[in-house]
This record gives sequence, structure tokens and C-alpha cells, in this order.
Amino acid sequence: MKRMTPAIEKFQRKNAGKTIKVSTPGREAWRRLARNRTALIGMGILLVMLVFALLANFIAPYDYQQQILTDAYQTPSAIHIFGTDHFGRDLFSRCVFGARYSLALALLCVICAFFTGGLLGVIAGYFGGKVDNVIMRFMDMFQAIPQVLLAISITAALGNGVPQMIAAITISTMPTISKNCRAAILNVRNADYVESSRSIGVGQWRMIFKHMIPNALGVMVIFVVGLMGACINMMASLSYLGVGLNPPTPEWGLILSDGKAFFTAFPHMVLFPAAMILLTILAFNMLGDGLRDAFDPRLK
Amino acid sequence: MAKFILRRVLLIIPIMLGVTLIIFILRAVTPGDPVDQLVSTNATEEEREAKREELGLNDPLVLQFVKYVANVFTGNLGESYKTHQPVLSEILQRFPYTLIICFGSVIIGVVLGVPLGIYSSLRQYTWIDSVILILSMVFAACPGFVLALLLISGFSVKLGWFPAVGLPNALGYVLPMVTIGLGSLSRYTRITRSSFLEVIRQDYITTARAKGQTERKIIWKHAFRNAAIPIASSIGVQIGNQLGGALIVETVFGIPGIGKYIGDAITSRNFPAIQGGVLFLAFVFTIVNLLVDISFIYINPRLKSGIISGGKRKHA
Repeated sequence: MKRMTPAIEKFQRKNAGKTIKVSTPGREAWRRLARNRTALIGMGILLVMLVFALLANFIAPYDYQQQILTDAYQTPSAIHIFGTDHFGRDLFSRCVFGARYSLALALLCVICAFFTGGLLGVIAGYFGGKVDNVIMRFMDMFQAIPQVLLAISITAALGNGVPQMIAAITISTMPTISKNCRAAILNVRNADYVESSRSIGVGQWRMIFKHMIPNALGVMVIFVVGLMGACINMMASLSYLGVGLNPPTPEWGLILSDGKAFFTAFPHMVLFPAAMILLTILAFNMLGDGLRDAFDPRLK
Repeated sequence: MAKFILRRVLLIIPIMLGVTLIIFILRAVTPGDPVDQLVSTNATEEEREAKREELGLNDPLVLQFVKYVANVFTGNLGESYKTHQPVLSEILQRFPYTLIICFGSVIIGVVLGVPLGIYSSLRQYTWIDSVILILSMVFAACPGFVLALLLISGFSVKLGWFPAVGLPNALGYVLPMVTIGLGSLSRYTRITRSSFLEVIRQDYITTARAKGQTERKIIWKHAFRNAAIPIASSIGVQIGNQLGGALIVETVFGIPGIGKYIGDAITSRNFPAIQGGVLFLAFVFTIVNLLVDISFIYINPRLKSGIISGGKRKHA
């Protein structure tokens, strides 16, 4: 082995046995994220929601669909901390289980949208030219209908239910996701490592999945975190309009929609599910912004 | 430039064809027989068959689509199942309400959002900057129907300032406008803030300051004009959100606009009305985007020269 320069040898002797933390762009970004108070608050709220979602069976004091009609319309108290609804169901239990449904469904929607819209965007960005043109004009078609309206017309056609709603939200978010993924791929398309892989004969698909997507993934993930909030919002709106899920699913929008008729007399039936929706969307937006600022400080 | 505008206008045709196709497909995959809505429950099979033939439902799908497109492009959006009136005239009757709410909410969003964004950029990293950012984030996270319900409970039920439902007088417009306007506030605030932060660090601002120009003139004459482009472009995107959000807000407030028309049509499974309403809003949205694109050329002179000489430069 070639002899190292004396400076390096000295450095090694001095720091022998110690781990040296090298500053990489990734570590820098995490450090910035850890110092970002808004992002940390967002993460904290999401952690609570995640615990609710995962441990709903242990946290919820009652069964979410158990109706005790003699207990109906109770305002918040020690026994029912969020009160009860018009069927005497415990609202806290429903909201806790709601975390499970709302988060899981939003995640499913985002994953589906990523695998359809995201992949199409990647293909458009990589191949460019005619392929790009066809895919993007296809997306323009969907984008010409305002997002919420498109989702509503899809559920109106397909009917209520989980798969229908996932389809609706997936299709309506597909154009934005594909445009963002396309932009992310265009950013790395002319990078030196892509050029060098091409010059040593790396195949197209290997290039996309092994070299380009991993490098563009960061930008896409940041976008997806923000999208989770938008999905929860859209889901709640659909349920509110009666074209989302079917009762008695404890989805937050549906719980709120159940309570809206009694809002003036019993505001707790609306305010608690509304707070859950608001906090979760806020948390996703805060974390999303924090991630974006941390990984791309120029945008701040 | 005229060529650019012409090309942009012609682009509406394929986009609207695409929208029509999406809406037609949605109708085709809808389970259930549309004839059920139109004939009495004890109709014989012959009567149902006659109705189906009359509506052209026995034709092959491609032919149905061609007929549908031909109808749409001649302004015939079909007949409402409920009232048996032409859908287009019903929509045009309701459009002014949606338009007023949409305009009002854009004005509220811009009038509140832009100054807040400017103020927060001039006081970057102070507590007032944080308060503005947090407020705008909360409004952005709040779903329209939640905000609407809160406003109704506060200003209609408790204070009695505005009507809770319907349009007994012009005051009925206020809460729906405020609901949508506050929802879009954060976008304007944040875009203005980041755009301003970028502009006020430019050399020409320093020059203006060095000349001894007053702060007011620096902000409005030097900075604002340069920061306005991203703000203007966000208005176009925002109008799309507002047209979609109108459906929810109009339903909550009982405003007889297109949003509520579509909402009611969905509950009564009145398909021509749903299709017509969605198609109409998509058309309006497309036109708005077109106008935004064209107005851009006037707002941003750099773009103008780019378009005129763009063709030549590309091949150079």
C-alpha cells in the first residue's frame, strides 16, 4: 500500500480509537431538522396519533360501535372524556379508532398514488420526448378538473366504500404526484453519476430504479409527507358530503358528519373529531415544511 | 405572441375532450341502470326498453361517446332527471352565486394574505413573523367544512351577525367568502413572504436604499413589482381549489350555486346534472388558467421576449 502523507498519519495517531463524525449533507439535514421547532412539534403530534392508531384497542376505554342509548348526548366528563354521540357511543374511543382508519387509509391512498402517478412521472421524466408529452397531456386532462371535484365525481359514480374512496383520491392526486416526480427525476437526469453509469452501459430500468429513483427519493418523500395531510383533508371532506365511507366506520370526517346535525346544542360532537383532523393535517404540514427546509435550505 | 395565444386557446379543445372522456367513463362504470331513475317503479319491460332506446343507451359505447361529445360541444348537457329542464340553463342560473363567492374569496385571500406576507418578510424571524406563519398554517390545515361550521356557530348562532343558511340578503355571502378566503390565505402569505425575502436582498433594493428612497416607495415601487409574479401565478392555482371547495362550502351554507347543485345531484343520483356541473366547472377552470397564462406575458416582460424569440433560440 502506498505510504500515506505524514499529516494524515499524525491525524490518525491522534484520533486512534475515536469515532469521528464526518459531516455529510444528510447528517447536516437531520441536524437542521432536529433544531426546527415546528417540525419537532409536528413529529410529536404525529407520534401521539401513531400510538393511538397502533394501540387503539388498549387506549380506547369503550368499543367504538357499542351503542348505549341511555348515555346519549353526554357532554365531556370523567367517564366519557370527549362525551358521547346521539347513539350513546363514546366519542373518545371513536376518535382513537379514527386515528387508525384515517391514517391507514391516507397512507394507502398515498402509496397507490405513488405507484401510479409517481411511476408515470418517473417514466415521463426519464424518457422525455414523445413519452413525456403523452403522459403529461394525459395528466393535464385530469388536472383540468379541480381536485376535490374530481374525487367527488369518482365516488359519486363508484359509490361509498373503502376501495372506491382510495380509487377516487388516488386518481385525483395522481397528476400532482406525477408532475412532482417528473421534476425530481429531471433534476438528477443530467447528474454526473447518471452520465457515468450510462457510459459503462447500465441498462435503462436498472438506471431508473438503482441510480435515479434512490437519488430523487428524498424530494419525493418530502412531497409525500405533505400529501398525507391533503389526503386526510379530502377523505374527511368526502365523508362529510356523504360520498366517502359508510357508517359506522370511525373515520374522523364521518364522526364529524354524524355530529353536525347536533352542532348547536352539543358542539363537542363536532369539535373533537374536527380537532383530530386539524391537528393531524397541521402536523403533517409542519413536518413536511421542516423536511423541505432541512433538505433544501435554499427554498426557505 | 399572437401565435402563442392562439396555440394556447386551441389547446382548450383537446383538454375539454379529455375531460368529457373522463366524465363519460365515470358514467359508464357507474353501477345501476339509469332508466330506473326515469320510469315509474311498476313500468313494464317494454316501457323500460323504449326509454333505453330513446336515451340511446343501447348504442355501442363509442357511438354514445361521439353523440355525447357532439351534444356537449353544441351546449347540450342533457336534461336533469329531477326537473326535466336542460342542465345547461339550470347551471347558468346558478353560476353567478358561485362566481361571486369565488371572486370575493380571492379578494379576501389576497387583501389579507399579501400584506401579511410582506409584513412577515420585513420582520423575518421575529415573534410577529412566527405568529403570522403559525396562523396561516392553522388556516391551511383546517378543512373548509370545519371552518364553515365554526364561523356559523360564532357569527350566526352566537352573535347573529350573518345568516347561517341561504341568502336572505347580501350578508349571506360574507361567511362563505370568508371561509374560502381564509383557507387560501396561507398560500398567499407564504408565497408573498418567500418571494419578498428573495427580492429585498437584491442589489437594486440596496441601491434604492442608498439613494435615500423612502421605505414605503422601496416596498411598493421596487420590491412589490418584482415579487408580484409568483403571487399572481398562485392566484390561478388557487381559483381551481376554490371552485372545488365551493362544492363543500355551498353545501354547508346552503348557497344555491353550482357546488350545491352538484352536491344535490349526487344525493339524488341525477347523473346528467353531475356530469354537466363537473364539465362546466372544469371548463371555467380551464378558461381561468388560460387567462392567467396570457396575463403573465403582460405582467412579466421577460417572458414576452422569451416567447417571441424562443423559437429561434431553441435551435441555435
